[in-house]
Amino acid sequence: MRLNRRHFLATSAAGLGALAMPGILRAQQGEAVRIGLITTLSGPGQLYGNYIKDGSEIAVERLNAAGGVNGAKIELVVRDDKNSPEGAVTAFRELTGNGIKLFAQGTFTANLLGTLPLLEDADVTMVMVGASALALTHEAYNPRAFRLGFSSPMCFGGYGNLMAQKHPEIEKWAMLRSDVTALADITNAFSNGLKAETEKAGRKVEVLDPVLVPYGGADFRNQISNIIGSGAPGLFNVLQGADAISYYKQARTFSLDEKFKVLCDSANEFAIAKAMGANTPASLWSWTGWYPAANKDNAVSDEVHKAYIKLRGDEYPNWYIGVSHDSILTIANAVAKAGSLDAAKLVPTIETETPQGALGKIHFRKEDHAFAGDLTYIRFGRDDKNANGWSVFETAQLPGAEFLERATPGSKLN
Amino acid sequence: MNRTLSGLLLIFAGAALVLLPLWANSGLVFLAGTTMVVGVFALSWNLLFGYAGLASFGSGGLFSIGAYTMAVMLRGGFEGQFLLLIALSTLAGGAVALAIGIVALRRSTGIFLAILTLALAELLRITLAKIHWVGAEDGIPNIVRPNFSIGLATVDLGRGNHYYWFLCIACALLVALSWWIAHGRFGRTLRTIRLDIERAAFMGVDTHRYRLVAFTISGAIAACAGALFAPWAQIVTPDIGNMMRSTQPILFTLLGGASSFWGPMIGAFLFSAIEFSTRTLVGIQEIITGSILLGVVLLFPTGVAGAWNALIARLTARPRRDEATSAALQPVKE
Repeated sequence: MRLNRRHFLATSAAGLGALAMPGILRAQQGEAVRIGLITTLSGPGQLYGNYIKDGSEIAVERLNAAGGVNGAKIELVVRDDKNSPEGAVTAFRELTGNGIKLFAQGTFTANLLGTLPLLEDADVTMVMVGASALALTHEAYNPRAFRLGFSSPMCFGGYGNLMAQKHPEIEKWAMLRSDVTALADITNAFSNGLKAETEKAGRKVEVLDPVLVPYGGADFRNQISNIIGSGAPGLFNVLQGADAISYYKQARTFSLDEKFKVLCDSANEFAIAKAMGANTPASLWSWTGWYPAANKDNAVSDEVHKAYIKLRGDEYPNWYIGVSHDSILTIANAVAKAGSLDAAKLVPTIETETPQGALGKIHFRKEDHAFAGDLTYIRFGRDDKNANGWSVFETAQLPGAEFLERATPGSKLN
Repeated sequence: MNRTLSGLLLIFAGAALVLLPLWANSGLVFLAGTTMVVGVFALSWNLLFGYAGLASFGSGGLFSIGAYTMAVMLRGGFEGQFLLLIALSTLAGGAVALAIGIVALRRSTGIFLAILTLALAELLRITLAKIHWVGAEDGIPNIVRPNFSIGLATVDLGRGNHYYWFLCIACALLVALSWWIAHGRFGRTLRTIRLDIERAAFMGVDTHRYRLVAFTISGAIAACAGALFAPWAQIVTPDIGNMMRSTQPILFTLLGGASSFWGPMIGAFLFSAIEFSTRTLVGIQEIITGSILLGVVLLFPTGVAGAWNALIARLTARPRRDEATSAALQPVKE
């Protein structure tokens, strides 16, 4: 179904207005609905925190322009977690002390682990923005918190599945990752997804052990030689940030993109193309949390995209923009539908509602509150015809719910 | 008059802290509790710097040892022995500091000691981030605030503001202990060593032994502060002992004044007050905080405590020309 802006806003307004509002919200009508946003706005994590702040502010602006929540404006109260759990806890306690009961928080897992045990005492409902750590929906599961983020088994299991579908001719894959334990989950998930789909189709695939590169390293030439020498036609790279840029720059001198039929990057998406311009590899797949052009029939996605271009002048927003927008939307929609700020009413509402967000339909698995929306993958690469020096060639989407790991709320997975 | 006024101010500040939960926002209470702990941590650092003349850039590592020892033991179900756990964490920090001191203090002082301690603290942080048993990079969350018995009485620190008041008592005891150490014979000997090590050695002082004991005591108090902090924050991560943590006491001491016993504590509260009052100024908060720090360091080289002492001295006595010595060379004030 095609959903345009007018339709979305009219439906929301009508639905919200038609609800018989309980006394608590009627009493608050006209008062602002305050949402606390705790994110990293200083230190190394501020790059992502700024995206989260931008996306959240775009959401508040859009929702208020459409009349707010049951006539009440939404007010976003932003605090810096100072990239530490105690910073997050200080901000959380300050805001709950001021009566705020609705929260969106990201980026780092440890900061979320600091505030999660406090939700019950403060009767808080929280959306964890962009969080991927398994612990948040497993051993550290809190029934008042929802993870609007993508776990490794989900997005990289789906990634492996997609590659098995798109490239059945490739029977051998090499992998390369930084020597960080957390990244092993990504290569494992990709390998599992690839093997599962290949075996389902009655074929076999060989996945080589990952070649390890030092985290924060500057010289990757030995490892590049190793993966080229492996003879595999498919390659999955798991490097992050500056490491990835150095790696792709050095790989260019080895003509890496000519040595492999398919090159996959885990999740650096446009950061590589933006940094390398006309030196971007010829063709590179990447996972992304949100890419507007992949959501062609999604008016909300288009509007968020336009609002971001207006705000920052950047045509290729980071996926955190869409995710943070949808986090605020999820909270606002739940308050409107439940007619209450109490977690007891909001939690079942979020569990059952599926509001239309920038990422598509926003829904969570009831058992562990893991995000179960769509997965998006993009293929981009060098393009001399484009002024940027690169273009997006192809996008693909998969239903994320099919790749979610087993729900084990309250206990560790496996 | 200076002592009377300072004493009254101290009583007023102590009372304000104890009564804080009765009127303040829970965020402010949490910040005050955190500031008390890091204030004690800074005092422990200044025992080394202001009294023994040793600069450690790795005190965060010792804070981290105390916090992790407490977190692991509480996770292991030993909350009933909470007071013993504090003692155990303190001993762990003291033992590590003693071992480092034995190896390092004979071979390095000044910048070499600073870099060596910094490197050791970073090594500890990186190691903790790789050990899955202590949660690797995510650390140990959900640390309980204990419920324990003393004789017939049961203390439930998990209820309301009980842990905050426990922190008030524990920090007051640690401050009193530090005061006793700094102002007794041991502290005076340390100051002699700081001012002129050759002269102290000539007078028969075993300077290495005194410095080693100071290093150990400072490490033990830092670890004790860490142990108190773990149930307060209810989470410990490897970053609890990162470089920022190690620079905290240096910053507080610069702000408050290294030449005063109370300087680091004053610096800690001033720093927290500045940060809290500028928390809504996202993007320029660091610039404002940095500018204030720069201003204080340039205008008051002896810190806020030094400026306060100078102001009171000026108000109460006629200044004599021959007393106009360099502020930086002033010994630690009683």
